[in-house]
Amino acid sequence: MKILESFRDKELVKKGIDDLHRLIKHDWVIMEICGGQTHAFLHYGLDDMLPKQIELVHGPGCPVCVTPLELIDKALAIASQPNVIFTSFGDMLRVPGSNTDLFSVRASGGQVKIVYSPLDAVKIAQENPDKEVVFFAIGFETTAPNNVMSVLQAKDLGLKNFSI
Amino acid sequence: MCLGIPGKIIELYEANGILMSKVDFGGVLREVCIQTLPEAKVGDYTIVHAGFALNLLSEQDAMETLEILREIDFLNDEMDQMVRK
Repeated sequence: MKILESFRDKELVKKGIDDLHRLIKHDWVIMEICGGQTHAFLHYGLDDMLPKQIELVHGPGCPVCVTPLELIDKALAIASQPNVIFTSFGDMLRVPGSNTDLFSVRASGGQVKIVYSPLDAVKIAQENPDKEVVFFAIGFETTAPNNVMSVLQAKDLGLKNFSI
Repeated sequence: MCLGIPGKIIELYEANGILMSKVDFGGVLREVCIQTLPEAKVGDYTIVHAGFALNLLSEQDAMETLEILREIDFLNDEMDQMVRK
């Protein structure tokens, strides 16, 4: 809470913005790496307060922040099924869907497990043959090979209860 | 989610037909899939993301990257203290 409060300190923000206006001597194009930064800039109206010379360009975003809401809602619906063990990277659990998030699904009895690698999800499928194990295969080019590897691995092991 | 972390390969083996390894991240050992780097040898440094080795890097590059990560951690601590004051 302390951190939130200090970012809402009007004087502190004004000083930062004034410093920027004073220091900036030429046009700058800055790319936000993370979708969370883009979100914060727009949500708090910081983009309107910056000097005109600063142009913000929306960057690539990581697999978590570029995951569309619709996909999160689908994940929440799957994770709520009684016969499903839903596996996901830990970062996804707090990302809100339309009504809830994976943490809340877990708190209300859904089986949601955090994995570090898609291959960990395959292991869980091996250990739980009577459950459907679903891995939340978020991301793009960088994560696609890993996700595919988990499917190949599941196929080689003859698993019928693993999907992504 | 965004960060790949460098570590040292200390063991290579095959599991269920794919190349796996044990990688040492500053004393923490993790199992890492190294299927995409068949040229990797024990003692090499690799950068790992979500349980998969992405590429090999020199010991010097690995140390520099770890140093930067430590600095970020240090900055986080400093920020925390600044905010608490």
